[in-house]
Amino acid sequence: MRSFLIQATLVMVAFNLVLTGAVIFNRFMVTVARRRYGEALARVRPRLLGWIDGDDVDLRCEGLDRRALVDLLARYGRAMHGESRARLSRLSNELGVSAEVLADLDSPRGWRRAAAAFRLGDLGAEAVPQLMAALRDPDRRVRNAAARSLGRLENPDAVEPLVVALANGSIARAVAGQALLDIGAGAAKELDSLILSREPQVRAAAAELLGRLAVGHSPILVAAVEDPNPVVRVAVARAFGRLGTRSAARTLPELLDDPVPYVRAAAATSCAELGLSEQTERLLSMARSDEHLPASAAARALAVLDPDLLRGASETAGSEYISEAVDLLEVRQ
Amino acid sequence: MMPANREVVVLVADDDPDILDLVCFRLERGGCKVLPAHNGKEALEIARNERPDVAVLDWMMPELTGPEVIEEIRRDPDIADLPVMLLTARVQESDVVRGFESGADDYLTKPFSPQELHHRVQALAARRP
Repeated sequence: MRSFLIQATLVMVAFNLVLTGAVIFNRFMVTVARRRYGEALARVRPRLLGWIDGDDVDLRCEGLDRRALVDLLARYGRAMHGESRARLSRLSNELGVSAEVLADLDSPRGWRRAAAAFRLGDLGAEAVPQLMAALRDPDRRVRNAAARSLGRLENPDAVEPLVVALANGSIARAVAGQALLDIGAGAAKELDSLILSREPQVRAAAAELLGRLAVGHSPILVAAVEDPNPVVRVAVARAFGRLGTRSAARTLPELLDDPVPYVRAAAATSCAELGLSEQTERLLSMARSDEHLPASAAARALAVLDPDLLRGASETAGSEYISEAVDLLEVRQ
Repeated sequence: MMPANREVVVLVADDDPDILDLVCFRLERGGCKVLPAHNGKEALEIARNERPDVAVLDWMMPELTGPEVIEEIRRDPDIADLPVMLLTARVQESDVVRGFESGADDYLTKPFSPQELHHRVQALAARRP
């Protein structure tokens, strides 16, 4: 029994020694690989920076230097826009870097596809169709990365698939919004046409995004106050609040009479955002009603537009919503 | 006004080494002397000790944020007139307002154009008393 215990202890000690040796060896190899990669970065970085700045430098390389170049191209591409980034994109395409990353979109591993989708935008790759297809990827990380990159590529063709993906919830709202903002004014025309879509969720998403883009007057958005779907009318009311145009200020009060309370509430909030002080009497009457959403929104809008009127109303014929808004007003002050 | 032929000394603070590389390289190529810093505290020390002509600060930095550095700069009578640009990924209107309220003279959002940044730095330096 004793000799068995001694033998077992020796086996365990030997096993531990082997394991410790393997860990140390692994650490050593990782350190060496990191150092070599750091050296490759240091070799490539000044040449690439010079190239970005207009120098005539041959950047063709292989092995570790090539890996460092791909990494730096994506990192610098992420930080820049304008002519320097356009040069960077041309270089990525010429050196075949974009094609290399594009191939990773077919990887069976989700994280690799997501990383590729993310990098393609930073590289300014000619990959709009592939990224649009990646919006339907089963992995949410890939879809979000593709949406973000489509924004970075600033191609208006991507607007419709982005809005559809936003409307069906397959990409994050913030990511889609930022992508469309990145596409910029070019997105507005596409969004306008999507307000006429047959799908109410698409119409609502398009209206909301038009508001976020704040591109100015949109006759199609103004006409959408009569959309049969209340979700769309809510999005239109919110968009008016952000747009701040004359046509928005003129049309928004129509939604204060909407049959759906949720729409009236959104319109009241937007009245405050637009500073429509001529609507204070209507808002006061809404605030005195017993419909929770519109009354609460109207009272809070009054707190912004005319705090004295609100305080006066709370002392005479007030309501619980008016009292609550006055309390909030006092807390803020 | 600063003499046109004098080398412009620029403090550049960013905790992202890639951004620091890009900005420093462009400004040095443009004839500026660059003083790099990797966090807000280091940036403030350099501003006090080296008296640069212009400062380019990131918003989100360890130790002190960009706006906090600017507030410290504006409180110090020796460097209160230092022109400062915020270079940041924060694009919301409220952030821009907060940036200017802290005392920034210019605001540039990331992703940025290195050429545009260089021209803005030159314009800030030229306005320096």
